[in-house]
Amino acid sequence: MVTPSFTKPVDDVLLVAGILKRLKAGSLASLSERIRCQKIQYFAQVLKVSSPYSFGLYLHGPYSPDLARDLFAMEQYSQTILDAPFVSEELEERFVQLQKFISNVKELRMLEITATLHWLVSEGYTKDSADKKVSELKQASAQELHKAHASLGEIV
Amino acid sequence: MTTLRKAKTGELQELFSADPALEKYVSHDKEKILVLKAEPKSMATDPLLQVEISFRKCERVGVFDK
Repeated sequence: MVTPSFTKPVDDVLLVAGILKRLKAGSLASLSERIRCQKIQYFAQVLKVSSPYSFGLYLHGPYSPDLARDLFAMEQYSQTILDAPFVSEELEERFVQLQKFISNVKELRMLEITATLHWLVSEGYTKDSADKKVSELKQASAQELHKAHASLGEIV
Repeated sequence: MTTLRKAKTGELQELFSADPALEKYVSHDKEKILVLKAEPKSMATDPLLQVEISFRKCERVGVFDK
């Protein structure tokens, strides 16, 4: 068997894959599933339960090419990835927070809008300028932006 | 290298007073303890996450003493 090549240490990638598995994500079969994986990992980083990947802003919001590469490289081992809880209670609490957040932001479009909004603010945009940018990029309505801010208010 | 072994009586207290973060890394059966010694760092910057990843790595490769 050829050892897969990862951009990060294998145990970091295993943690990422394990978190996705616990959240019933991780499949890369469709574009929407791949986008979902990216956004879950993005918010897992926001909540400090996963190893950091560098994200840039792409068509569907924050996206990490390295993460995409690592998830594809890990895909052949998906059956053996452990979905164990965190050893640390504090990390497990953070994970539960992520779980609640992801279950509250069910629609992929809302996940994209919320992640895009967060990414822009983290890059220095003010709330108003981030709203304006997301409206331009995603044609997000005022109601969608309001929902996105409300969701983000629960985790940041 | 990371050393993992069962904690001896009284040793946990000594270790935890030296580094309270270690207390979070006694495994669920309360028998295994992780002692970090120049473990190559993961990409994680959060200290808790670094230890978690090291712990999982040690479980994965089976370095816990039986």
